[in-house]
Amino acid sequence: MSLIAVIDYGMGNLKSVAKALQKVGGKVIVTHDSKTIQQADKIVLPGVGAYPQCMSNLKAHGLVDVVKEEIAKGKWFLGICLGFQLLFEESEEFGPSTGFGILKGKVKRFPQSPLKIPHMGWNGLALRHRSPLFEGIPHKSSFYFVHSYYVVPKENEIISGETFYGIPFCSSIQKKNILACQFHPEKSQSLGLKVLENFVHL
Amino acid sequence: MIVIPAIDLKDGNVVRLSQGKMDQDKTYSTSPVDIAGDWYKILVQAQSSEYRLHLVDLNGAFQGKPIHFDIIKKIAETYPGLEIEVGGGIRDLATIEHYFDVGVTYCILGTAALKNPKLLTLAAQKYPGRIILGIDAKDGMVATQGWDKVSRTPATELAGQFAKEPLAAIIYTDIAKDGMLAGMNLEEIEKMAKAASVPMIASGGLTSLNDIKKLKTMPNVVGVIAGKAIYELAQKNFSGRVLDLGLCVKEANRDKTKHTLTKRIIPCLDVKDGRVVKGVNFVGLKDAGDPVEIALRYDTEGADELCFLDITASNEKRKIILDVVEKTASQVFMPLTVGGGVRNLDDIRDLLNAGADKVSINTEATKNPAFVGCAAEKFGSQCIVVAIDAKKVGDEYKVFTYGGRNPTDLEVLSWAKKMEKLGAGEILLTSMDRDGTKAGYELNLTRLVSDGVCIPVIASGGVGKLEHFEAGLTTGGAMAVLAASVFHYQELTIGEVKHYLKKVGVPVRI
Repeated sequence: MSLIAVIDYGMGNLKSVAKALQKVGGKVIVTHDSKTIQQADKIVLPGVGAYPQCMSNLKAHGLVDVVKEEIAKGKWFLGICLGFQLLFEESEEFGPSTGFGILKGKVKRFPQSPLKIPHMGWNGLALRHRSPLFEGIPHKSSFYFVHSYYVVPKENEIISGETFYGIPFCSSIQKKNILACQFHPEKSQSLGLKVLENFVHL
Repeated sequence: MIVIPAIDLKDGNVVRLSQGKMDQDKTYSTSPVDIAGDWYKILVQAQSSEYRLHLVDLNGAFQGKPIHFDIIKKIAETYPGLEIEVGGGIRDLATIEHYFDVGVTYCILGTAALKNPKLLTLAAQKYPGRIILGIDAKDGMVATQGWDKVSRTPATELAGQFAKEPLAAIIYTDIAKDGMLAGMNLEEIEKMAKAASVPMIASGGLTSLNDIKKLKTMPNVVGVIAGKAIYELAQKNFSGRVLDLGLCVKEANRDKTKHTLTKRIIPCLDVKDGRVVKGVNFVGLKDAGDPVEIALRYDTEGADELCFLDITASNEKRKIILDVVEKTASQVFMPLTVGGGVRNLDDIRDLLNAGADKVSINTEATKNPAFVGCAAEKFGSQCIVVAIDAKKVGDEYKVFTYGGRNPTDLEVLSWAKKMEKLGAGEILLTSMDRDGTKAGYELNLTRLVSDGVCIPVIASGGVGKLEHFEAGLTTGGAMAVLAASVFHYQELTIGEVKHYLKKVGVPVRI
C-alpha cells in the first residue's frame, strides 16, 4: 500500500481530505515535514485560505522546493482548490502573488456582478481530455466548489475538465504525474470519494 | 435547450447534403477550422449555455473508418473551449479513444450501434455521459451507412434497446427533412422524445425560430442541430428560408438559467450538549436524536450542505460540539457549517480542525466587527459566514442578537454590506418575524440583501411548504435555503423539495 502525504501548512480544514482518502482505503499521513514528504509515494496539496499566505506558509516550512523536486521526480501529485491554483505562475489575489510556477498560466478573479462571488456550491464538471482521476465519473457530474479565483492555463492540452460559471473555466488538469482540481472531492459525497479512490489506486 | 451548429465534412470541405445523398452536396467552405471558429464566436456572443459543435465525417460514414480525423483534431486543438461531438465512421473503441485523446467531448455511434450493439453498450459504460446514439430515420425506420440504406428496425425500438445505458443523448435525424429547408418533422420528433428515456437532440430541417419554440415545449429535448439554414444565411442568401444562429441561440436561451451552478438546500440542526434538540423559540427543548445519525440521513436524502447550530449554554460543555463535528466529518463527505458561540480566532481554528468547512459568526460580529476581518484574513473568506437575525422595526429591518432576543441599532442591508467588505464569504439571513411560523421566507428582506451584496445569501426562517423554497430562491434571489423543522419532522424530504424545484425550473442537484 502506497503512502500518501497530505501537506499541512497550518491553514483551514485539512482533516477532511485525509479522512476522505482514508475512507476509500488510502494510507495517509498529514505532515509538514520535508523528510516525510520525500519518503511518501504520493503527495496531496489541499488548500483553503488566501494565495499569498499559503505560499508564505509553505515557504516558511521550506516546502516549496521539496514539493517541486518530488513532482519533478515523477511522484503522483494531487492539488485541490488553492493547491491547484498554487501550481501556476501567479495569481491576481492580493497581487500579483507568485505561485510555484510548475505549470504555465495565471489565476484570475471571476468577473463581478451579476454573478455571486465566491462561486459557491455544486456545479457540473464537463470532462475534456482523458484523465485516470475521472475513471467511472459520468460527464457533467456535480462537484462542490468554493472559490473566487480561477485558473487560466497556457497549455490547453492539460485541461481535463471545465465548468461554467458566467464563463467556462478550467476546473481540472492533468500533466503527466500532476493532477489537480478546483472543486473539493472530499466534500462532493460519493462521486468525490470516487475521484479520491482513483487517486489512491494510481 | 442548446443550439448546435453542424459542420459536415466531405473531401476536406464543409458541405451540406440534401436528404443525405452524397451526390447532392453543396460546398460552403474549403476551410472547416475557420468555419468552426465562426460558429464558436456566434455561440459566445449570443451567450449560449453551452458551446457545442456537431461534426460529421461524411466520407468516414461511407467508408466505415475516420477519414477527417486530422481536421477534427485541429478544430479541437484550436478551440479548446468548444465541446465537440463527432460522428461518422466510428466503429470501434480505439477510434473513440483517439477522438477523446485529442479533446473531442462526445462520440456519436449510429450504424455501429445497429450492427454491433455490444460496442455501444461497452463504450457507454466505459465513458458514461460521453457517447451519443445517432438515429437517422426515414419513414420511422432506421437508416444507416450515411443514409444510403434503410433497415427494418423502427427508430423507437432502437432507442428503447439502449434505454438503460448511460448515454449522453440520442440525436434523432429525420433524413426526409434534412437539408430541405422546409421545417422539421415535429410530430415524429415528439414521438421519439416520449419513447426515449435519455436526453434527445433533434436534427433535420431546422428552418425557423418557431421550430425551436415548439421543441422547447417537448419533454426530454435538450438540443437542436442547425445545418443548412444557417449556412444559407452565411452565404447571404436571403430567400426567407435562412436562419441566424445567434437568434436561434437567443430563442433557445429564453427563460433559461445561464449557468449551471445549482441552488443549495441546507438542513439545519440545533445541537445542545451534543444532542439534536427541538423546541419552539428555544423553549421546551426535547431530545431529538444523535447529530451524526441525522446528518447521515440528510446525506442520503441528497442535502447539499449541512448546518449545525450549537445552542449549548454552559461554557464547560462547549467543547462537546467539536467532538460532534469530528464524528460527523469522518462519515459525511459534504460541506458543513457550524455556528453558535463563535467568539474568537481559536474557536474558529478548533472548529475547522475538527472538520467544519465554514463557521458562522453572529453576535460577536456586532460586538466587534473587526473580528470578521481578522477571521477572513486568517482562514479565508470562503469559510466565514456571517449570520444576521433580522426583524422589522417600523419601516426598517434591524439586526438582532443573542438568538433574536436583543435589538441593535444596526440596519440590516448596510450591516450586510459592511460584513461583505470586511471579508465575509456568505450571509445567513434569518427573519425573526417568520422563524417558526411556516408562513414562508421573508421575501422582501431576502431580495433586499441578495441584491445589495455580491456574496451568496442563504434564506432562513419560516419555510413550511414546497412553494416557499421556490419563492426564496426566485423572488427572494437567495443562492441557498435553510430549513430545520420541515425536514426534521419529515413533513417534507429533501428529495421531494428538489424534485419540486426541478419541475418548476429551479436548477438543483439531483
